[in-house]
Formats: sequence, C-alpha cells, structure tokens
Amino acid sequence: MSATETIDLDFEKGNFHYDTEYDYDAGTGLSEATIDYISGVKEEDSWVRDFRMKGLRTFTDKPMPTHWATRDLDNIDFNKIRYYLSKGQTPSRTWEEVPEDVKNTFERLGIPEQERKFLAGVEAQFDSEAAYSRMKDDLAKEGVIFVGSTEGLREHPEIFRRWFGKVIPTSDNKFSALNSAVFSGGSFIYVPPGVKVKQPLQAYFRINAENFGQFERTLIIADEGSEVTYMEGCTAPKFETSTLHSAVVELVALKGAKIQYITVQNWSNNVFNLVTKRARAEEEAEVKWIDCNIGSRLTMKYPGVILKGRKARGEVLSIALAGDGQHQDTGAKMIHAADETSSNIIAKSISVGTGRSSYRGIVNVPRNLKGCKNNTECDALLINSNSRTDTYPAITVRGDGNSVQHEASVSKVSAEQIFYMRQRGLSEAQAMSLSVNGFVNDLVREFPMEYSVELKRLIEMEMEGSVG
Amino acid sequence: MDSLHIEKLNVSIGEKSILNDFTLTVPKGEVHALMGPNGTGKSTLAKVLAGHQDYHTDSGSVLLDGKEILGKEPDEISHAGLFLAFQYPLEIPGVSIANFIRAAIESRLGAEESLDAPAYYRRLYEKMDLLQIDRKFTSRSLNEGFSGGEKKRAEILQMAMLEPTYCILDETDSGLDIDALKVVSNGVNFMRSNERGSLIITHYQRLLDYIVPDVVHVMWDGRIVKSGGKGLALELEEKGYDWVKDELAVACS
Amino acid sequence: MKLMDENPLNLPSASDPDWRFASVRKYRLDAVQPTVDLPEDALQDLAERSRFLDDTSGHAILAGNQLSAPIHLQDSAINLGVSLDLSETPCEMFPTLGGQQFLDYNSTNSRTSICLNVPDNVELQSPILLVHWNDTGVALPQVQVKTGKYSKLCLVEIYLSADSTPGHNIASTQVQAGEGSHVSRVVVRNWNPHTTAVHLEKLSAQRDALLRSININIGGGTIRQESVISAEGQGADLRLHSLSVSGEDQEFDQRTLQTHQAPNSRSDLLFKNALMAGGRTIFSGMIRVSPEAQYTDAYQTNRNLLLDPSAEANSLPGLEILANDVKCSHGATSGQIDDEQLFYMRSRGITEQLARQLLVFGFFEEIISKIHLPDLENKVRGWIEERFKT
Repeated sequence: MSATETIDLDFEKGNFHYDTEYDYDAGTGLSEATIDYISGVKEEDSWVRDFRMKGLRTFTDKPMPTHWATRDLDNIDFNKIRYYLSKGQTPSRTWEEVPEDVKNTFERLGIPEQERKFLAGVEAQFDSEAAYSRMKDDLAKEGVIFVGSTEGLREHPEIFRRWFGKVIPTSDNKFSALNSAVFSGGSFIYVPPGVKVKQPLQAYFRINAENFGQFERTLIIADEGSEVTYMEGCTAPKFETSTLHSAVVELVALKGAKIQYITVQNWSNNVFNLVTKRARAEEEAEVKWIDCNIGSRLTMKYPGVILKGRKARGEVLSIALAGDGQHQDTGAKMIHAADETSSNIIAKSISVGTGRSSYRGIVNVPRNLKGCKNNTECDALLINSNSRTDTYPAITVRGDGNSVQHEASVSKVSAEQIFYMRQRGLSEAQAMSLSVNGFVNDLVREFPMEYSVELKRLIEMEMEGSVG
Repeated sequence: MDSLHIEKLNVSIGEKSILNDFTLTVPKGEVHALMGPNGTGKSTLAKVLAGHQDYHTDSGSVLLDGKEILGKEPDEISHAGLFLAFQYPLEIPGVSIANFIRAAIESRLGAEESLDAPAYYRRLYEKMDLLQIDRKFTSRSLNEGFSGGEKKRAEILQMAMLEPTYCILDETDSGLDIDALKVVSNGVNFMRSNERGSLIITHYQRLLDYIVPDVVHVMWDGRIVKSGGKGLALELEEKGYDWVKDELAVACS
Repeated sequence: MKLMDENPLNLPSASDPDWRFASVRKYRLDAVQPTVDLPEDALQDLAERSRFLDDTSGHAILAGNQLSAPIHLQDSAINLGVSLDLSETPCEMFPTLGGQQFLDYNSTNSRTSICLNVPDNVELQSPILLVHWNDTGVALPQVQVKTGKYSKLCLVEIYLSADSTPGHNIASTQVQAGEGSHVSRVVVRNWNPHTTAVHLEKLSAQRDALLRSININIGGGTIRQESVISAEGQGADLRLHSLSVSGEDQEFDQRTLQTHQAPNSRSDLLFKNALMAGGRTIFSGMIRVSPEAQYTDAYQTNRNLLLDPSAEANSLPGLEILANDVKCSHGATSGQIDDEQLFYMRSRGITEQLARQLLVFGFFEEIISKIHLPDLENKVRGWIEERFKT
C-alpha cells in the first residue's frame, strides 16, 4: 500500500452528470434512417454506409442468444435507446478548446491530471464522439497514430479498411452486428514497425445521457516488432433507466509485436455492458488482455486471441466482482491456429450478496497442429450465502503434442478465518476485504501499479457494504 | 483489578455443557499453566475468552483489568488487550505476514494517526530475528503452506508485535520438535513482564521445562480441580491424569 | 414390431447446447430393422456366454427385448426378501441432460424392465449380474434398483453385442440408494463397432448412503451416456468413475450432472478417456449445488490421454454454485504420454513400445482397480487389451 499515483475510478466519483446540449442527435430507436443520419453527419464513404446497413440486417436477423445466456438480455428495449449524441465530430487537441460542461466532467474524473503524470496519449469520449484526443509529439514523429475511430476512418482509410471487421466479423454475434450498424467513437491506433511506446495510451469512455447507447469501435494495429499498452476506463452516472454499452475491439499484433490491453470497467449498475473483444496474433506476437469488471448491471465479455502465427502467445487475466444484483458473465477464448502457440487464462471472480459471476471459456486446438499449450485457472470466491458462481468452459484438443489443462475451484472465506483475523483486532469488514484482496493478490501483481492500487481500494469499498 | 479474572463461567454447545463454574485469576506479571487431558474444555475456554460465536455462555463473567469482555466482538476483545495464540492457526491465502500484522496494528490506531512504516519494519525484523524467522517470510502468505513449527512461530511473532496485556497460548507446543519448542519458548519468555499476564494451555509438561510457570492448574470436566506450584506439572507427568481422577473420586465419595 | 412407427423418435437439434460437439445425426433410428425374437438355441448360447462372474447372488440375461433365460436369484437372497423381476410398470421419469426424447422412447416402448429391490438391513455378499445382448433392431432395456435402509448391494451391468450386426440400444437405469445403504455398481459397455447407443441413468443417494458407480466403455460406435447423480439426503456420498477407450469411428459422449440438495454431502467424479487414432470423446460435466446444500464437497475431474494426433477430446467441465459454504473444484486435462516419463522408463532399459503400453495401462488401472471384483477386473483388462490389438 505504497503512495502510488492512483487512477480514480471511484463509484461515487463517476455518479454525477451535467445537463448537456447536443448539436447532433439521431433520436430514439433504430432503423435505416438512424444509420443514414449517423453516416451523414460523419460524411462517410459509401462502403462504410454499406457496412453499417449490413450490420443492421444481421442484427435484426440474429436472435437474442438467450438459449445459453441470461434472460436479462430480453429487458433491453432497443426502441428506447438513443444511438447517436454528440457536439461535433472533431475532437479538440487542447483541453481549453473542449466545451465547458464536457471539460468539467473529465476534470472531475481526473483525466487531464493523469495525462500530465504518466500517459503518452489520451482520448476522452463523451457519449458518441471523442471530445479530446492528443498524443505526445515525439510519438507522432515516430509515425504512431492515435486518434478517434471517426478520424481514423477519415484520415487513414488505407490502414483502417485493411483490418476493419477482419478480426471480428459483423455476424460474430448479435451485439457485434449492432455495433457494426451504429458504431461511433473508440480509438484507432497504429504503431509502426519496431516502435515501442513506453508509456500507456489511455482512452476514457463516459456515458453522460440517459437512455444512451455507446457503441465505440476500437482498432489497434501493432506492426512488426512494435509494442503498445492501451488502457481504458469507463464510467456513467446512475440513471433510473438502463443504458447500453456495446463496443467492438479488434487488435492486430503482427510478427513479434506486443499489445497489452487493460480495461477497468466501472459502469454504474444500470448499464448493460455487452462487448466483443478479440485479437489476432501473428508469428511470435504476444497479446495480453487485462480485464477488470467491477460495475454494470450485466457484463458479457469474453476477450479472445486468435493465435495465427507460430509461437504466438495469448493471455487473459481477469477479475470480476459481482456485487448485489449484478451479473458478471465473463471469460476468454483462445483459438489456436498455428504450431507451438501458447495461451494462458487466469480468471478470478468474487460474488457478493445476490451477485452472480459466470465464467465462459473456449479453448480450441485443431487437428493439424503441434506443440500447443493452454493453461486455464478459474477461481471463484463466494461471500454471502445468496451469492452465485458458475463456470462453463469448452475445451477441444486434437493434434500432436498439444496439452491443455483447466483447473477451477470455488471457495469461501470461512467463519474461522474471519474469527482468527478479528482476534488480531481487525473488524469483520476489514477481515473480509483483506481476504478478498488476498484472493486476487497474485493476479493483481501482474497489473500496472496505478491500476492495482486503485483496484484494491475499489474492492475494499465493495466489501465494506457486504457484511453485517 | 490488574488481572484476567474468570468467574463461574458456564459454557455449553447445544445440550452439552463444556465449562462448569470455571473460575481462574491470572494476575498481571504472572505466567499460569492450565493442564488437563483432551476433551476437558481447555480449547473451548480459549475460544470463549476470545469471543468465538459458536459457544453459548450460560452464565459467568470474564474481567480484563476489571472490564467485562464476555459478549464482546472478537476485535473489541483483541483491542482490549487479549491475545490468543491458536492451536490451529488459519491459512490466509494471498495476505502476507507483514501486511497482516500491519493491518492489525493499524486497526488499533485512531482516525488521525498513521503508522510509521520504516519504524514498523525495523521492529518487525527485530522480532523476527529473535524468533529465528527468515526475513523472506514477511512476503509469504500467512500460514499458507507453513510447517507446524513455522505456524507457531508466526503466532508468537504476532503476539510480540501486538504487545497484548494478556496472552492465551492454546497448545502452542503441539507438533513442535525440541528446537522449535526452544525458539517458541524463548519468544514467550522474552515477552514475560510485570505488565503482562499469560495463560499457557497445554496437554504435556514438556513446554513447562522451557517456560517455567508461576502457577499450575489442573482442569477436569470443565473446571479447575487442583492448583499448585511448578512441581505439580512434574507430578502430573509422572503419575498421569488418572491420578487426578482418582483423587477426585476419593474427594467426591 | 410396430413400435417405431407409432412412436417416432425426434432427434434433438444439432445446435442444442446439450448436444454440443455431438454427432446428433448418427442417433437416427429410421434405417433400423425391428428386433426379432431369437430361437431357443441362440438364447441358450447367449446365456452360456454370460458367465462373467463366478459367484453371484442372482442374474438376469436379456437378448434384444426378451429374456434369454429365466431370471435367477439365489435361495438365500430370496429368503432375505430380495426381489429381482421383470416389471410391468415402466420406470419413473427423471430429468435428463438433453436426451429426454430417448428416455420417453425407452419408457414408452420397453418390454424388459428389470426391477431389483433389496430390503432394509439386508447385505448381499455377492453381486447381482445383469447382462444385455444387443442384436439387430432397437433394444430398450430398463433397470430399476431400490435399496432399503442400511442394506448393501453390488450390481454389475454388462452390455454387449450378440454378433457383428448393426444395432441400437436405448437404455435407462435408475438406482435409488436408501438411507445408510452401500451400493456399488459397475457398468461395462463393449458392443460391436456398428452399435449406436444412448444410456440414461439417474443415481440418487438418501441420507448417509454411499453410492459408487463405475463405467467402463470399450466397444461401440456412437455412444452417449447421461448420468445424473443426486445427493438427496445429508451425508450422502456419491462417486462416479469412468474409463473410455475410443478409437477409429468411435464417439463416446458422456454428460454428467452432480446435484446436491442436502448439506454435508459429497460427490466425486473422475472420467478418464484414452483416445486412439480417429477416436472422439466428449465430456460435459456440471456440478449444481443448491442453496440449502451447505458444507458440500463436490469434485469433478476429466483426464484425456491422446494417443494419436487424429484423436479429438472435448471437455465441458461446468459448475453452478448457489451455496457459499462449499468446496468445489473441477479440473480437465488433455495431453499425451509424458516424454519425461518415457525417457525415465527407457533409461531403465524398457523399450519405448513397452513403456508406452505400461503407461497407458497405468492410466486405466486407477479406474479398473476400483471395481473390487477380481474376475470382472481381469475380464475388463482382457477386453481392453483386445481393443488395443485391433
């Protein structure tokens, strides 16, 4: 518990909102007209509009996946959602140029301060579009591109189009189709061969309006031998009605590249957070997803890596904390598609009160491959007698010299452990929070310091309310 | 006033009574040993004193320097100055010894106070050296994968760091070889002071070769049936607990 | 027989999550000939071939959908009140793990429902043997077992093919272990490669009962086994073990559910699969602990040994836990023979081929040694060795 700079992702800190006048508003409900509107204000090429229209058709055709997923999905009313809200399509390069109400929001969340302290670049998205986007000048000189996806599509179509929708096809699932239809915002990053971006690039996603749906689309391409770390934070105020966040994130790590993608999701508990994230790792490339899910009403998110090149490596480290009334349905997919590829999944979940955490995983090693390895560990901790946890992995192994191991366990903090700690003077809540932090400790150690400190504090706050 | 005073304590689990009018006073500055065969209620006594929720106290009183601690929460009792060294210390996965003891010390500080971290670590290392605990231990999860001897040493380390007024050592010698027993005893002897009272609960006499008690009590069927000087422990060792039983039978008949 | 026309079997949908990875279409019945009653000498021959145990308390030998010999029960067992009969009443329905159509079909059409009852406090020293010989057509055997309080039973079910003709087998077994009873069950399935089978079973244990069930799957084509084990009384202890050897054109699809409705209960599952060239296995397990089943220990392990690159092992180990004071874990591993072990053995002078064989049979032995019936253990070892020769 050293005095490290922390990133504020306080629940209460995110729970505020300023009334905002929007210059662009696609209204409520989803139709071809909505797409025409979005595509129109963004002045998109016809191929993008066609891509969106195909997305809409796929979304309409695909049933809700409630044959395996929770029925809570049926409570989303797509006709009541506002699909596009913005003050304009071009982000400011200095905080002074950002409109006052939007700037106040990000200042209160501490973003400009963090940017000064340890970030190489920041993009701050307010509802549908980035309000601010800036990267350090020296990175620009090296040819690094870090802009909003709207800008990326406009300014760098030659790189964007080549990879866009290639890792996650529109028809992957109902929500990737929805995103393909109405996407707006998100980051576009390109790191040229051999460039190693030392400090992280950060995006901050803020939902400000009620009944709003945020559909950012992020595409990160790390060219041969390059390295980049991207972090995203998310908050929203608590509204009476539910809000939808449905992003698509595609990562491409070319030969020998390394991408680390860190998420700390702290949505308010009226947000449906239905996100598709997948990476493609070429020869000897490494992709690591670090995924912390603390907020939202329902999160469904299974970051994946397609291990496309020999000796590619994929990793998912995730922590989910399902508080009262929350459902964290998270997991990982590792698709081995080349020899000697390896993958590692470590998932820890904590269920508090009526919270439910579920792990779903896919590990696939096909027939023609040699020397592939996967290791999966999922550990669940149950706090109260009405808490719930599920584990649903699917593992297929064929081929020669491939090995896969999966271990899962469920445990609870025992009454005797709590008594022991209280005998040393800790209160019940302190004892509980110490146990929970102990449970996630070995995993949190893998995280960048700024995040691990904050995460511990968030867990402590959650546990305070869970006892008594 | 300056004592751990237990008065006519009656405790039961379900229908079964475990402690029957148990009465004992451990004054500050003294070390008492409580001996008795298995199943006579020694460990129950330790847990009741520390405020374990599973035991029902029917009647009685436990005064710590004159203040009632019966019915108080375990952490309140700990803050009041009572320390229990567990017979079976629990494993706390992922929580290091250093962080655990630190959290326990911080729980004793007022809202405005903060812990002096360098001083804390200096003191921790000093006590660890005394107890011959390798410094690498500070980063290991508390009790996780520890041997029996390591667990007991970690208990004494916590005791030394928290500096309680009254210590209850529940079967601290169980599972220790002679070397470990000596180290643990040195730690306890180092803690002996006019400002501290200790109750050593043990089944065997051998711990008392190293920690010489001021008073020895023999427990039988939920109460103390015989008290005496350190010679009593040797007598017990020689004659066995049946001797007490026989004496008791004579006394009752 | 007309039964197939009257009660068509509707196959599950290929996208049904309960049939994930399974070759659903192979379970179609429409090309199947109805079973024919066998002549007396054929029946006698099968009865002769059914002497798998030296010492039994009783036996029932079935061929297709008829008895091949009268049901036999030792006098000593009869005197204790044990009964072993063909039942008129179909078995009670029980929840399935996706194979409801098959259970309905079995329940509606079965003519051979074997009923075994062991009264309170009766301990049978020798096993009861049930042998089922599959012939052409669809065989629909049923087994219903109930044990009384503090009784003891060992039950052996052996499923075989009478010859090499293609056949279908849709079977159901229900075992209810009464309070404090000890039930030990061994099932061996060793059909010809042209057999398609679905075996649905429900095993439940009342308070303090101990129920062990061992499945040995050696021969057959496309085989599905669904086992629901249920701890219904506190202190119930259920152990489900399985060993499957899968080779060319073979698919063993095993679905299990461990449910706990009572506190202090325990279940332990270990399914081992050895996969030869072209072999395919699916293990789908679920542990479901109800909120009232506190202090439950439930374990589930699946180990797949892939002996050839063309083999495919699928694993779906699941948990659904609603009680918080539980110890649950599952583990699944898939891999090959350990090169380091091979090296170690070869450094002692053992040839690679022999070393491999020893390691593979060592992998099996963990399950076989749990049978505790020496003559059956040896029979099983022999059948597995044969399987490896082909």
